[in-house]
Amino acid sequence: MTDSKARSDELPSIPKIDKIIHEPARLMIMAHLFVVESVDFLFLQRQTGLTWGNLSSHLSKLEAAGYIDVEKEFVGKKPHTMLHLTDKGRTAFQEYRQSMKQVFEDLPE
Amino acid sequence: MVIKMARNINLRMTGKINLKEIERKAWMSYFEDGLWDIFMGLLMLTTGIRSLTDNVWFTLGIFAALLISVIGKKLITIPRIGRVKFGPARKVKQKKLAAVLIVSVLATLALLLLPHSGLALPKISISPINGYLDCGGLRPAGILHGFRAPVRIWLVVCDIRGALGTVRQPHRPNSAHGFRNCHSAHRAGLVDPFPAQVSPTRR
Repeated sequence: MTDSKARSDELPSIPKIDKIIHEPARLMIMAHLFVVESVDFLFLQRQTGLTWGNLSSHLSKLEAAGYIDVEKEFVGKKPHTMLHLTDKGRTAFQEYRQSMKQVFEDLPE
Repeated sequence: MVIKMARNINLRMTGKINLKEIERKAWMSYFEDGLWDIFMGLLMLTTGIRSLTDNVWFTLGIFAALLISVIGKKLITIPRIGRVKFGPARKVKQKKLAAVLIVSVLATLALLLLPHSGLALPKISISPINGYLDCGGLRPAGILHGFRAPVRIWLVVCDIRGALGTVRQPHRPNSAHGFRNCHSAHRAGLVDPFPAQVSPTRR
C-alpha cells in the first residue's frame, strides 16, 4: 500500500495511461489508423507487419473497446474489411499521447 | 523500478512513434509498384519519338502511358497492397497536385494545337520556348525543360530577342524534315524559315 502510494507520488500520470492502446501491437495499429481516414485489413497487415491472426485478435479488442469501427462488405465475390477509428478512438489516442508526454516530462533527470 | 520502466518505454517509444513518418510510409507504399516509373519512361519515350517525327498522333502515347498506369494501379496494385483513404491533409495535397497537372496538360495541348489552328498568333506566344525551337516536334520536350526556372528565364530572354529579330533560328536547307518543322513554327509567326542570307544552292 505504502509502495503504490510512493509510486503514484513519483509519477502521478502513470495510472492515466490507457492499457488497451499501450500494448505495442495495438499502439502501432492505432497510430496507423490515426493518420488515415480508413484502411482495409490487407493494407494494415502490410504496414504493421503483423500476422493475420495476431492482427485480427488485436482488432477485436480495439473494436470491443469502441476505438475502431469494422465494416465488412463484398467486393465482387471477395470479402473486404474496412477499418477506421471512431471518434472515441481518436480522442483516446490523443489523450494517450498527452498522458505519455506528461509521463516523460514528469520523469526526474 | 517504475522510473526505470518509464525510461525504457521512453526510449522505445521515441524510436517508433512518428506519425508523419507513418503517414509518409503509407503514402509511399502506393508507389512501390513501379507503375510511376513505367509512366515516366513511356512519357519520355513518346516525347523522344515525337521529336524525331512530325506525326502528331505520337502525342497520344502520353495518354496511353497514363491509361496503362491507371489500369495497372486499379487491377494489379490495389488488390495486392490493399485500399486506403488518406486524411484531409493528404487530400489537400492531392488536389493541389491534380490542379497543377490539369493546367500543365491543358497548356501542353494548347501549345501543340495552336500552330495547327491557322490562327495569326503574336510574335511572343504563350510558351517562352516556342520562339526558340525550330522543330515543332520538340515542343513537348521544351515544355518539360521549361518548368526549370533558370532555363525558363533564359528562354524568355531568347524568345524576346528572337521576336525582335536579333536571333535567327538555325536553318537547314538540305533537310526537308527540318524545313517542314520550321514551316509549322513559321505559321505560328515565331520562326523565319527564309533567313536573309540564302545559300547559293537554293538560289
